[in-house]
Amino acid sequence: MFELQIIINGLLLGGLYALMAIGMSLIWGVTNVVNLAHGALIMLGAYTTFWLFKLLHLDPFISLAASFAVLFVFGFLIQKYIINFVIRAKMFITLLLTFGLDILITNVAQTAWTSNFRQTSPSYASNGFSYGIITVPYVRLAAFAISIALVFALYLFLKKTKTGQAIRAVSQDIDAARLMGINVANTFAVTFGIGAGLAGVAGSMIGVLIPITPHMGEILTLKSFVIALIGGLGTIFGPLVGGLFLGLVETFGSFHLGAKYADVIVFGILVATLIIKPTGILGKNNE
Amino acid sequence: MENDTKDKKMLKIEKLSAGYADTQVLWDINLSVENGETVALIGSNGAGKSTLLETVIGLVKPISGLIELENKPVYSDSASISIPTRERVKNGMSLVPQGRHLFPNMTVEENISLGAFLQNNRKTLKKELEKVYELFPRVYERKNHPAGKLSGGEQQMVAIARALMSKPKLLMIDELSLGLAPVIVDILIEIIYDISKTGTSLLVVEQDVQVALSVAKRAYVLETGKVVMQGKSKDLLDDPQIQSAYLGI
Ligand SMILES: Nc1ncnc2c1ncn2[C@@H]1O[C@H](COP(=O)(O)OP(=O)(O)OP(=O)(O)O)[C@@H](O)[C@H]1O
Ligand SMILES: [Mg+2]
Repeated sequence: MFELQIIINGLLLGGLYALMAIGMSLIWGVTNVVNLAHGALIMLGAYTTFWLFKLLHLDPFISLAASFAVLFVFGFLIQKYIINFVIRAKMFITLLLTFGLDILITNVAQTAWTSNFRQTSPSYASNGFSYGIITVPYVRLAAFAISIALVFALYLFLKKTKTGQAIRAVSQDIDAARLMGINVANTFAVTFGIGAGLAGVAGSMIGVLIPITPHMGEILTLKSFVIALIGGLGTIFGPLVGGLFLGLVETFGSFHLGAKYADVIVFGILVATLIIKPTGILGKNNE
Repeated sequence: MENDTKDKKMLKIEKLSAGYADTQVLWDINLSVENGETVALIGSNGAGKSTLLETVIGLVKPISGLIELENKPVYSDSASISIPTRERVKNGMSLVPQGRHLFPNMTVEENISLGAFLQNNRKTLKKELEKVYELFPRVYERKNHPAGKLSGGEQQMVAIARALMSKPKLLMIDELSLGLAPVIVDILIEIIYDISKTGTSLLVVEQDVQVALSVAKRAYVLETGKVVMQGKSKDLLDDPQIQSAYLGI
């Protein structure tokens, strides 16, 4: 019975992980930029919701829409005015650039908001329902449901809308996309905006579950990277599978081995994926 | 008035030079395509044919010169004009690139629909789709297949269908027949005739000189980035230099 509780906890966490990573995976798959500032964007989402809750008493599950909007605009501008200038450069250059951005954003956040621990704590934060000896906290269930819904919404967006088709076209062949009349630079910026917006939403919900600090993003960047990688790049449901997988393994691992091993497990999975199947669980083998 | 329309060239290229980062590929190219005309561009490997078409549509940046579509510059170094590819497509240019460049993970229909990306009307999209399916019945049969899984000939048809969806006035095709079976090439030649009959101007790069000179009345020969010969196809076919260089006679 205890194992069942762990599975439920793991899956609920995994759904949120999936949302957290899907933005990184999308940006990576489309623009070929591994965004090392992804965790910093999640952190900004967490603070956005925290301040809206603290100052305006806005419910975090409502203000996550604001988080999306703020981070979309932020991401769009970063891509359009900074990253687009180095987009055809070597991967190393974009890594360096986003690493620099990560440090910059983190330090500005620390200066503005100090490194005090904060948490978005609505009155219902510790409520939940029980069934036998199984307990499901409402906020974790809501975060899970919203995450899964957003993953499917992203899928439909990419499949059905004109902007979505432009994004897919650019991800598959940039020159051919240009020949269709697609504005590639703008498409990159919109992609980055969506990826950042989804990171913001994830941050809003993570901030209800764990303490918010300017440095919280560092480990989240790593986790997003691992999830994107194990799920396989360029697939929409890859991060979903990767997120659920990491959530489960991490929850099992920290229960049986101890919480301090959680990060070791993340690294372990990363190394194992790179050795066994570098293209990820859903990734194609030879491409 | 009559002279006016006669003077209205579909494409005019003057003293065009272009290349990549540190290698110049094209040198002082002069070339034109009249309204409604089909022109062939021939030349051996690495002569710069693809570079020329890509420069015309704006994928490669020129060094200097002039490119005009219907007497309006899309690139001019003297007037500092250089409009982006999407504007050139909007104004009536379309390119079927060498190697096709289909979107491999999209279906055939998604590929073709993307050709109409700048057309904003869903109703006309359906009509246009029907039109190209009529031209390519084989493509219609494959419309729900991923484009990456098609045979070379089918891919070429999809690429041409996709390029037609923007209703081009000037359709450029890079390597019409390369690597395709003779039966497919015959079908493609027929299709070029059909497209030409609708009034569309064509600029076709073709390594097979017989094929090139059968679809086009006029042709240019490109060697190491320079136009070395031009003229009526039938005159070129009789030219001893062409015969020895391209026809193995
Ligand atoms: N992206 C590029 N960067 C640098 N040089 C290039 C690039 N593309 C082509 N070239 C060079 O430009 C020259 C002309 O190439 P281009 O592809 O235009 O020739 P082509 O006539 O189309 O040849 P082919 O018959 O092989 O298609 C070649 O020397 C080629 O190596
Ligand atoms: Mg070529």
